[in-house]
Parts: sequence; structure tokens; C-alpha cells
Amino acid sequence: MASYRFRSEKYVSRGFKDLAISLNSNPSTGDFGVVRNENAIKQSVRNLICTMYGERPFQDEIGSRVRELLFEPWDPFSVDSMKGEIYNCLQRLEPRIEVTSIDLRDDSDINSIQVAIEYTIVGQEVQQSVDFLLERA
Amino acid sequence: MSAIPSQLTSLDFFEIKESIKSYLRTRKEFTDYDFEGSTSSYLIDVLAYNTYYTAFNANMALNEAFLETATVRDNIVRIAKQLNYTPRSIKASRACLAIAAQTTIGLNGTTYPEFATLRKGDVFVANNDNDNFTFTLTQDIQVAVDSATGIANFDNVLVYQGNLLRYNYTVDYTTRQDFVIPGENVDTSLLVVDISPNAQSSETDTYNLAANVTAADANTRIYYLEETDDLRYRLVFGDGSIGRKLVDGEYLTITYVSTNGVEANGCKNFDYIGNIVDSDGRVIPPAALQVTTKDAAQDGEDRETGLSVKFRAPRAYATQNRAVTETDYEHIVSEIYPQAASVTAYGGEKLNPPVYGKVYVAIRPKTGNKLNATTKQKIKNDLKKYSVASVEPVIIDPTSFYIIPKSYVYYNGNDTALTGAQLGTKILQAIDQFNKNGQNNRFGGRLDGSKFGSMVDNSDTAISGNVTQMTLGKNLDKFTFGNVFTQCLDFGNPLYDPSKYSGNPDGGTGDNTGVSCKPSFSVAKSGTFYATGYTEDLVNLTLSDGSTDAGVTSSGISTNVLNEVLVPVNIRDDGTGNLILVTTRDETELVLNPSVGSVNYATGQVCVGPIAIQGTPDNTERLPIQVLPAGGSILIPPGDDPTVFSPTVNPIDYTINDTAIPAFDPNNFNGYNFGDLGGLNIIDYPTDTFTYPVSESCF
Repeated sequence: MASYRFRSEKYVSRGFKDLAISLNSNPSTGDFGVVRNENAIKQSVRNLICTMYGERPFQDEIGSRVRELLFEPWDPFSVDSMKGEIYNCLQRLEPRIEVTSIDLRDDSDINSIQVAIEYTIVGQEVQQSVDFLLERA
Repeated sequence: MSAIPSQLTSLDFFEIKESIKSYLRTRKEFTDYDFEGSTSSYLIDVLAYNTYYTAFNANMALNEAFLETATVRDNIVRIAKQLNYTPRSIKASRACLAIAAQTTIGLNGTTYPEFATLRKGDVFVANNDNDNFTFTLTQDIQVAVDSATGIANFDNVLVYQGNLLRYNYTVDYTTRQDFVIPGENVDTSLLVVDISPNAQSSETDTYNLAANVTAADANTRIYYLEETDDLRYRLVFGDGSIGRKLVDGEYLTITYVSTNGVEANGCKNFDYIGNIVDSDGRVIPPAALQVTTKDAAQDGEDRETGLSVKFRAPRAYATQNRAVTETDYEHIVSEIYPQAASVTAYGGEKLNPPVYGKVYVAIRPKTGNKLNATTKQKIKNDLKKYSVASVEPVIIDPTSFYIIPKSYVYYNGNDTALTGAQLGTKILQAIDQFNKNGQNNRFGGRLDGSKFGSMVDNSDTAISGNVTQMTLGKNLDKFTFGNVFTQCLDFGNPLYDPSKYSGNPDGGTGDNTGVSCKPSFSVAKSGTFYATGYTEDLVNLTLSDGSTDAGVTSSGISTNVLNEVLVPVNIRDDGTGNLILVTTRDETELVLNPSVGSVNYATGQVCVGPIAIQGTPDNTERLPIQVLPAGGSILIPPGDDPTVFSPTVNPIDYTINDTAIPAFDPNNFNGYNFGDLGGLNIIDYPTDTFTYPVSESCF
């Protein structure tokens, strides 16, 4: 039994459980909302990309320049920079995933950029994706 | 299982964060705290940050409660206050000026006005490399006008850098009042506090800063000074038992100088912006004034730093206004007798032979040489209040210790535009400054040749090095003209022993072992004087005798004389520990008395006498004695006031003259050594009485 459990912990992705960023409470129990597994990872990806350098106390290296780049002129160079920034950030700080593609769509008429990231969770073959809007605020 | 965070004392953010995470590991509610993107990680950051801040705050608060660890000035000052220590304020730079004001014929049409008054307030502007500064006068000065010339001479006008400001409070019992001086750059030594019964009254009482509480009673007009928040000073008045309590409605006027401190040092050229009125009330225009700068702006200082307060406050507390150590005595005497230019104290055990139970305090007054007996007694009585019961203070006159340096200075003439003489003047100025600084702390008890040498080297960049020999001097002064006396001078340093350099007749071998040649130089010499009984007749008699050694006592010859004109004589040592009395006749030295005292070469003690001095060239009862110390470093004997006297500087441009000046060599009478080149004398007979330099500064 012991060896089986060892194998399962080492080679099978474990379950993930995190607080929901909305911090809403469960209407029936009154507990904090919870996100699990791939949803927890999606939330983490979004958190990391929306965090600016220096925002976390004493940990200057956590975050990305993505928010800064929103204020750059929107040209192919900025697109490349932003993709690179997202890729690097996730590779550095989110060890649970491997990014496969990043797609940025310009919605400048509503002052926002649509971000679509595709990745696989380490240890699972299923492709995951996360889509969100980046807005200048 | 660790159910609670274990790192309770950590001051490191990451340790605290790890502690929270290790707690969460024991729980199963959440798992993602290890991933930086997770929301729980964000929350943990906030928690750790909060804990960190609280811990830091607690640590900081506790540190700030102790003098040793406090870092915020306000807190340091607060703790020092408990030790009754008031940090020294910023100090205004001060300058000394003379103003000659030409008045015009007075309103009566016949005579000049009676007097002229220089009003207090801002009187001059001056500038240095930093900026322009205003200089202010703290008190009105009134002088009489010369009735013949109409000139009013304001001599020694002390002006302080800053603005003279005034602030008022009305004492009000219904509120809790803080009498704070509203400015952070206030020189508290120039503070004037006046109290009048009400705002309209012209009657004022000036209150003084309280030195301590022992002499204060219910009517003493004193104030205490404390530093409070933001570098402000606060005045605190008596409570009706220790110092007079202020009465409701009384009117407080604080006059103070707000200054820039050290920045204004060095201001030289003063432009007048003040106000002088004559006794007829007419303003004297600036065109009628002649301003002379006597002393440029100096002595400005910054306020005491927090670090300095931390160092000094506990030590000031330790003294507790008691005279225990030598420094205590010096400090207290300079407070109870402010006219002292310098105070030196030393325990009797340092004397030879030791005198236990007494502390000797040598006081040099600002004017004159010696204190009179009444003043000495008064100081002694005042001092007894502070001194330990079993110790008796003895007030004595200071003994001056003159150090006479002679320097040969090499310089590269291609590196400087100065001539040798100009360079010499520059070096002498540096020596003068060195002396002024050194006199304050008695050169720290010793004057090392190397230190003096490096000071000379640093006085100009063209100087490559110097060779310096010091000699020492003291005055014989315990005699009256015509009376036989004996006085010993203790130079406190070993002297060259000439007999050790004289060699023996056959070079130290053979049968003459132990027989020495006659020593060929002297290390102790006196100035010229006239000794009772040593007359022309005695000299003539000695010469007719065919001898150069009179070998008679003064009493033995003075009975059969016709020519009683006294001859100028000197005292020198014969190199074997005896002092001899000599005169010069036809360029030949004539010994008039082979034993007029002794020299101890090992200890540096020179005893003159018994002998009677009939006169000295300057007609003062002082006779200079100069000696040659053996070492390169001079030890200042206890209780002596050292000063550099009449330094000689010989600059040598080594690009023109590269002759080597050897260091002192007692066997070489021709080179650098002191004295005449003929070879007999290593040091010259001193020509002038040694005098302690009188400070010409008007401060």
C-alpha cells in the first residue's frame, strides 16, 4: 500500500484547491468560495498576468509588465513584447502548466485586449485555455 | 504536528510567510499556497506583511526607549533629558570688528555730540564661499564721542551671524503653556529672556539659565532649557521653590539669534547695514563710518548630533557636578571663574615627591599673568562645594612650558610660486595654528616630533620634508633682585648627557679606561643677566691671574673692588652636571663661578642657585633657561601649560641647494646643530625672556 501511494503522489497530478478571487461566500454554508483543479490554475494564470512588478510586498520578481504594455502604442512590436511577457511570466511562476499558444486580439475600439492562452497541465494531456480581457484602468 | 505558527520573534518577511505556510500544510482546506499565482498566496502575503510590520514596530518602539539603541533624534533627546542633559544647540559664527564713526557738530552748534549708540539688531552683511550672511548685534553699544575729533570708536564689537528675533508669551494660568522658542536654528547661548509684569510695562527682569538647582530658591530668577520635539528648545520656569514661579499675566520676551551655524565661518568683508545714532538722535550715515575687521567670522558650529548626545549624556550624568577627576576640576573651575583663559588640574600624587590629598589647579587668567591671593582663596572656597571632603584643592599659578622648534624645511622651488621667505611665513602660520589648537588640550600631554613634522610638511604641497629639533624653555621666576635664591625647574624630559659624547683621551682603550675628556657642549643655558658681586674688577682680576676660571665666590671679591660695574653673565652646564657662571671677555669665555647649581640629565631637572640676581635686561624678575631634550618626543609635565615659542623655520629649495641637513649629532658642531659654528655650543643662550603668547583675539 505504501508504495502505491508513493507512485500516485509522484506521477499523478494532485488536486488543487484555492480561494476564489472574488472572495464571495457560499450562500448556504457562509464559507469562502473555492476553486478547484483546472479552475484554480486558470485563476492563478490570470492573477499572475494582472500583477505588476513590486505589487507583492518584498517580492519584486512576482508579476509581469503586461499592464504597463497596455499603455504602449499598439503595433506588432508591442504585441510581440506582450506575448513574450506573458510566456515568460507563466514559465517562471506557474510550474503547473506548459504554455502552448498565446493569442492577443486588439479591441482598441473598446480600449481593451482580448487574451487567449492555451496550455497543458503538467501530467495531463488535455489542452486547457483561458480567455480574459485586459483593460486600461 | 505544528498547529500554530512557530516563528513568533522573526523580523524577516519570508520567515514569517514560511511559518504561515507551514501552518497551512497541517490543514486540508487549501493546497495552492505554494504557487505564487494563487489567491491564497496573495492572502498569505498580506498576513505576513502585517505580522512583519507589527513585529518591526514593536522592536523599533522598544529600541527607541533606550539611549543606546534609539535612532530618532527626538527620542534620544527625550532620554537624555532624564539624565538632565541638554544637547548643545547650533552655534552662531562670530566676528570681531572695530567701527570708527565720524559725528557732526551737535544741535547746539558748538560741540560734538556726547555719545553715539550702535543699535542692536542686524548690523552687517558679509559673504564667504558658501553664501551671503547677515550678522547681528545682541546688545546696544554706547561709546563716548571724542570731543576733539568727533569720532566715536566702537572697539571689539562682537557680531554674531544670524537674525536677531523676538517672540512673546503672556503667562496664562488657564491653559497648559509651553514656552517654546519658535525656530530650529536658535543659538541658545545668545538667548535673552526678559519678564515684565504685563505687556505695557517697561520694567523688565532678565532671567538667567539655571546651572543647577542647589543655589536656587523661591525668588531666583532662572529658567531651565530643554530640547523638545523638532529641534525646538523649550523654556521651563521655576515652581515657586526651585526658581521663581511666573505670575498669571506676566509678559515674556524671548530674544534669540536664528543662525546658519558653521556655514558662515570665514566671512571677512563686512558691509554695514546697521543703525548708529548720536546723542542728539541723529543717524550717522554709513559714509561716515570706517569698519575694520579684527577677527573674521569663526567658531560657528552645527547643533550636537544624536550620536554625540548618546555619547555625552551618560558621561555628563556621571560627573553630577562633583569634582572628582582632574577633568571635573578643570570643568568646574572654568565655570565658577569664567575669566580663566585656561585651567589645568592635576593630582598631587603626580608631583615629585608626591603630595597626597591635594589637587593642584593652575589657572591662567585672561588678563595678566597671575591671580591675586584673594581671588585664589575665593575660587578655592567655591571649589570646596564640589570637591570630595578629604581632598584639598590648591590654586596655583600656571607654569609655562615653552617648546622651541627649529625646522629646516626642504621644498621644491619648481612646485610653488612662493619665495623661500613667503613659504617660511606660511609654515609659521601653520605652526601658529597648530599651537593654538594644541594649547586647548595641552597637546594631549605630549608633543611628538613626527606629528609636528607632518604638520609642517602638510602646510604646503611643495614641501618634501623637514628636519626639526626641539628645545625646551622655562623661566626662573621665584627670585627678587639682589636676594640669594635657589630654584629648580623640572623639564620632565631626559636631556642629552654631554659627558656620554665626550669620549676619552685614547679612544676608549688602554690605561685610560674610565677617564673621560672634558665634555664639549652644554644642554642647559640661561639668558643674560647681572649677578650680584660679579663686577668688572672680578673679571680683570681673573684675567690678570692668567686663568679663565675665576674660582671665587662673589663675597670673596666684592670687598676689595674699585670698579663695581656688573658684567653681563650667563649660566650654562659644564657637561658633567654642574651649572657654571660665565661671561665673555674679548670673545673668550671666562668662568666666574664653577658651581651655581646642578643639572640632572636623566630627569631634566635644572636647579639654579644659590645665587643672587641683581638685574635682567628687560628688568623683570624672570630669567629664561633653555635645555636640549634627548628624545624626539616631548612629554608635557603635569600642570605645565605648553606653548610653542618663537619657532625658527629655514626653508631650503632643494633644487638649488641639496645639502643634507643631518639630524641632531652631538659630536657635530658645524652643521644643523644649534649654537655658534665655532663648536662650543649646541644651543644658544636664550636672548629673550619666555612669554606666554597673549591672545590678540577679542573673543
